[in-house]
Parts: sequence; structure tokens; C-alpha cells
Amino acid sequence: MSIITNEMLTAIGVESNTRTYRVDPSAISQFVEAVGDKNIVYELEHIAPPTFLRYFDEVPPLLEFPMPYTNILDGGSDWEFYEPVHTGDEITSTTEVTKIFEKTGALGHMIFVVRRHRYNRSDSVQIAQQLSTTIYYSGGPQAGT
Amino acid sequence: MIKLLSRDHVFEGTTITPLVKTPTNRQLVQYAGASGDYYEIHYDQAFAQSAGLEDVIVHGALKGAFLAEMLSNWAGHPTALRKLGVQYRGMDIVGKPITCKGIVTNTFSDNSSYFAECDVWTENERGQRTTVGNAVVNLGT
Repeated sequence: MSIITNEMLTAIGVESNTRTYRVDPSAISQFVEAVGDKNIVYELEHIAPPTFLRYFDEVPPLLEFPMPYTNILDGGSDWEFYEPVHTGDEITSTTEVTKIFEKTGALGHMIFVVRRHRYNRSDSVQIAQQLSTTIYYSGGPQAGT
Repeated sequence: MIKLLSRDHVFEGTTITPLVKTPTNRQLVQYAGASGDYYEIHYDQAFAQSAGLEDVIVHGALKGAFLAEMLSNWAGHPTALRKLGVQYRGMDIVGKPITCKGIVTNTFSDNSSYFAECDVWTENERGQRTTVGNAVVNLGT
């Protein structure tokens, strides 16, 4: 029996409010150090590693609708990178749900929510896009997070 | 001047230089802070064990970052990475080596730019693929 609700379906395609962030050099250096990336290019060119933009995502994502399951896993991401992020950039981001589907498996009943995150610079240049998949499930954790 | 990996050296079947990472507890705490992902399963051992796990587990997005690092190193500059898709299929326990690997599946050109499409993945110490994915990398001339 499907537990995808009308509220969930109505949220598809609705863009969130725009969030704005200024890229701080210490945020980049902390991210680089946390990944353990020894490449000096980030310091020399004042740019961030490709997946640094995760720093601006809500983790876990803000729920756009009531969700029956509180167990949550990161299912993965599809990134497109257009321009590098520089120290001092002002980045705006928006999020919208693009797809919701359900499956039954090792984690019990699972609801997959795919969200598109768009990241633009203050001059409206698109920096990147991420399609992230979040899995909400009824059972215990057994797969990747 | 940015020196990218030349298309003359990249063909279908070319392997990407592997990258091995062995995340520590400290690193998972650092990544939690650096990314904003404070889910306890990544740094609270008691929480992880109460969920039936052997120990805390590595953030999926940190594995994604490891793959991005591997590709950036191989391609010659992080801006060479144009696309990266990853699916987190298995858990990686803290303190165990994670090997990032990849292979070129296709090369193509588009408006005088050259690209390599790749399959990428992470393997745990038993050789199981805990992350699977694909990437597109800009090549130099």
C-alpha cells in the first residue's frame, strides 16, 4: 500500500526560499582539512573543493511535508559543476523536490525524496547543481549513509 | 596556468590513479563540523552500536569528497571535474581503509573541449563496492 501523500506530491516542483551565504576562507580550509586533501591549489587560488557546497545544505534536509519515518539516510548525489567557488563569493541557493518514490527492501519500507539544489553567485552566474537523494525508512540502518 | 591531463593519454579503459583513505574518528568529527552533518551515527560510538553497527560510519558525502579528490588529482585541477554522481550502497566503518578507484568508459569532444566519462567507486578492505558512481572530467589538449 502506498504511503505517498497528496501533500508530498504537491511539494514537487515548489522552489524553496532563497538562502544566501558568503564563502569564508576558514570554512574552505576546514573542509579541505576534514577531507584530508593535500592539494595546495585551494590555498593558492582561493577556491573550494568541488563538493564544498554541501556546507550550505540543510543536513538533514528541511522537510517540506509530514513524513511518517524518522530514520534517514543519504542515498547519494548527482553534481554538475559549472564555476569554481572562490573565497568571498556570495552564494545563493534554492531547493525543490523533483521526485518522490517508494520501495520495500532491507531497510523496510523506504520513501526516496530527490531534491534539486541550485547554487548561484551574486552576479547570477550558476555555480553548480546537485540532485540529492534522501531515504526515509521504517526499519534499522543496513545500507550506506 | 592550469595544466590538465592531456586527452592524448586518456582512452576507454584508462584507469584513474587510485586514492586510499582511512578515516579516523577525529576526521569524522572534523567533517561533521565542516559540512554541517551532525548525525550521531558518524561520531557517537554508543549511538552507532545501539543501532546495531560495529562502530561509527563514514559520511556518504565524505566518500563523495574522496572521489572528487581522486578525480581532481588525476585530471590536474579541481575545476576539471564537471560532473560527479555517487550512490552510497554500503557502510564504511571508521578506521578501515577506503580505496577510491575509477576507469574511463568513454571520451568525447564538444565545441573543441575534450572530456572523459568515467565509472568511479569506493571499495572497502574486502573489495566490496560501498559507493558507486560516474564522473565527467575536462581533458587538456
